[in-house]
Amino acid sequence: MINAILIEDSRLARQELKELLKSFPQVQIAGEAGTASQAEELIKLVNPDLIFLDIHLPGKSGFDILQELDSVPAVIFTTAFDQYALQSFDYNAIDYLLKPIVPERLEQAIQKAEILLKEKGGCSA
Amino acid sequence: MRKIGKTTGFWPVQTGVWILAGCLNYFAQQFNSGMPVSVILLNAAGLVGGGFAITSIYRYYLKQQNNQFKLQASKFILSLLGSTVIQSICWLALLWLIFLPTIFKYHIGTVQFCLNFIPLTGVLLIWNLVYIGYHLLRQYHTTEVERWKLEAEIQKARLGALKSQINPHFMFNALNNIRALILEDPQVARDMVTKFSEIFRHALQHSEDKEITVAEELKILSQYLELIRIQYEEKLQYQVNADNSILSETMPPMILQLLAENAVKHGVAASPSGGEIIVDIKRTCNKLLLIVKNTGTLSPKKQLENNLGIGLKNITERLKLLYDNDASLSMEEHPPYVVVTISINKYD
Repeated sequence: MINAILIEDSRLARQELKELLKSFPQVQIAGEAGTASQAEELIKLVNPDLIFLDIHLPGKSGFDILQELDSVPAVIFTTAFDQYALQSFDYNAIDYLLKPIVPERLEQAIQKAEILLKEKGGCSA
Repeated sequence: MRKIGKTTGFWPVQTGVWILAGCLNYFAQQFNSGMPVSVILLNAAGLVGGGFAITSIYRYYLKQQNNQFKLQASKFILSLLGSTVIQSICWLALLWLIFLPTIFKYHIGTVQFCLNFIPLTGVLLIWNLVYIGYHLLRQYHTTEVERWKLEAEIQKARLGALKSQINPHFMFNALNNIRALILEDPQVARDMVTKFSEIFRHALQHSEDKEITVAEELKILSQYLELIRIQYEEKLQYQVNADNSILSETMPPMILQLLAENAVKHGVAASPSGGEIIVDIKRTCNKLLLIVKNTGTLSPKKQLENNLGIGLKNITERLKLLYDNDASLSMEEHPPYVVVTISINKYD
């Protein structure tokens, strides 16, 4: 089971992602956040294996949030436009998904996450 | 017959053509004139040498003039005929010098000799027409290619304008939100699809128009704001104020939408608690004022993209293109709002 959280400022976008993630029972959504400060609290609280992270957030960017973390979980970026794809490599992102997310791409991203988390051994199967 | 060219061998062609002309003349004379071979050879040499020299000099003259063949048609024809006559006279004089020793021996009359002026002029006219025609064709071709290039550039610029008018973030976020709405509230989702297509159609139709009516622009603005609102929901509050009397005024298309987009980006999206946008459209005696306020401050924040003002810079450039100095954009802080005002002079 992958312990995941969603960080995304639009409620409907979170709704959409949750809907898409219903097809992946191995991903358990442990919480969701709409702002950077909520996100920071949530990460401390649930210590997730995987974050679905929007880059455009009010106040801080998704990149800013990652920079402030002591240990960075696996990250799948979700964003509407591809101008930050290169920058996302600097943060060891597993994948970079463009909204509206194509289900097949989401499947690939989750498979990659599973492999990575198994290697790390941080995943309680 | 192809001749000349700055880069394509003028000299081989020029030499070849004149030698060929000389040979033809030699054989023709040999079978018809009954003159001694020495005279026929001399004649051919005079033709080849003279023709070669005179046309080469003419080419040099044209090059010196740096004549881009852009003269008026009448002047051009006059210059062509004049040059041809002068060339023929020179050529004839040259031939006369060459034949001076033999001219009396064979009793060639002055008139008879001078009649050579006609075929010489004909030959030169052909040479000149081919030379100039070739260059005109080349020039036409170059102009054509340049025109195509220019058109491609314009096309690119138009696409660029369209791109800058429809923000991809807006577009894909809207589509993504609509996807979620389809499950949550199908009726609203259907409305949003319609609004989305209206905005898109508006951008496609008016991306090249100089001006449209305030009424049209306001209709699209409200659809845009409603669509934006499904992204921010209660975090975005807005109002649009415009007097009925100014609905028939004209203004550049997409400007209000770009201002609203800018206001959303800096006043609503940047704050966890959202913000408010107020759009006012007013008319003074000689100005149309488009005022967009958003909550927030001007102090530069540490942001992902440090492009505060890129949107406004684009608008300023567009206004400059459309109105030159008859429009201006200003940005001020009137807490709790940042106020962007566009002022367009009206002379009616």
